[in-house]
Amino acid sequence: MAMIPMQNVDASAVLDEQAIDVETLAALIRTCFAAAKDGRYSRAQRGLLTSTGTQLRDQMVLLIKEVFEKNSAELIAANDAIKKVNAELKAALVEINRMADAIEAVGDLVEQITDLIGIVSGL
Amino acid sequence: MRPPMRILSVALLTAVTAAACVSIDFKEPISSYSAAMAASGSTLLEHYKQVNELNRTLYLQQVQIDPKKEILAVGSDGKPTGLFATLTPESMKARVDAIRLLTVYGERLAALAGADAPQRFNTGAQTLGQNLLKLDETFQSLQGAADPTANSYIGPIASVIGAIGEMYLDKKRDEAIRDAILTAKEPINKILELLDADMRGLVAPLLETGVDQRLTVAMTNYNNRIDCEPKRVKDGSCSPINEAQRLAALQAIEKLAEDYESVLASQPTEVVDAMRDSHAALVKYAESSHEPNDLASLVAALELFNQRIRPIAAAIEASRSDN
Repeated sequence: MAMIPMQNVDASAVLDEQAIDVETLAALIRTCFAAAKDGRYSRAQRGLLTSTGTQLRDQMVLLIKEVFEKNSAELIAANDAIKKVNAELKAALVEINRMADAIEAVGDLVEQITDLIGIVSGL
Repeated sequence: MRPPMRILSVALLTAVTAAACVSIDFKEPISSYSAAMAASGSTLLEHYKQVNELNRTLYLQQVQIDPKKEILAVGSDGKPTGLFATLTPESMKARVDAIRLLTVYGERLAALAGADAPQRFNTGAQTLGQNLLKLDETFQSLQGAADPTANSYIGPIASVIGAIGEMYLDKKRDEAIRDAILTAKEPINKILELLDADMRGLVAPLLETGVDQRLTVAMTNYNNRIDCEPKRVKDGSCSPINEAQRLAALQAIEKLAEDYESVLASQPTEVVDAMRDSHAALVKYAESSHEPNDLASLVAALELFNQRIRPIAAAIEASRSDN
């Protein structure tokens, strides 16, 4: 692992300077935490890297939260479309079952009529 | 004039053969698709839940390490501390709904594909034929006249009606399945695209860096406490660790290191990739001419889906029971 130059790192200053995406931020955090576990740095440096990584991650959580909320509207629209398909599937099942139910009911009716005629005629 | 029995028999044979040919084998693959989608959905929901739980744990870890730190829902900077869910209930609901709807979609497809209405219709027609036969016999007995050939057509005709009805319902069912798959194609692709964006761009980085942070903070805290400088002990910024605490801290670090490796190994994006591949295979089959090769490809794709999902779901389940 390449050693990163240690200065006083200010996470919020890094973020203020440029627009940064989640992927880049996550890579920065991973680098901080990897170095914080690396014995080639002094304990003080590792402590600083740990707190910098933690601060950067807190910033990433806020950024992600914003993106997460933004994606929700699109997801809700897609959900509505699937709801319609699910309702159509349910209706299709009801419809084909209804035809089978109908012919079974007619069969039962004919059987009952036959039994009734038998009873009435004393057969 | 009565139709000759041979013609009826040929008609019956033709109808039954046609019914057998039209029926598309959606049942088994769709049942497999439904089960794998349900398992994938549970796995994705676990990932979302883990994000909120992990952020709360990280916040509490900070409070635990610093005995002077207050426990708050909103920090002095006005930002949420992580004590409460990072991902808001409204946004989570949209994800939970999406996953639930995908599961319901799979279940409804499976219910329709497995519907026994066509066979029930055929059996119902046969029963109706037999019952009409009995009714006819009853009437003839009442009239005291018998025409032995009159009722000989009822059975074959009922069979033809049953076979044609079954064929019709089979066709209707398969058309409904195909229509549903094709109508759902775009919205499902959209949902999977958004879930993929969540997993790839949000959940995976949060989980990876979260478990990394837990481990790093625990290691840093351990290293800081093994030899506190007297000056720092005096001002309360470092509390020395005793042997029992040291061993307990090492055990905790061991578990955190395992969790870290396990999160790195199980990429949440794999679940969505598997869902997307299987959905594409299902759509491809619905759009195909349903040759045996098409069905074989679908079954192979779904088997692969199951193979990819099973270990991920098992790993998630194991990690839940460990914690």
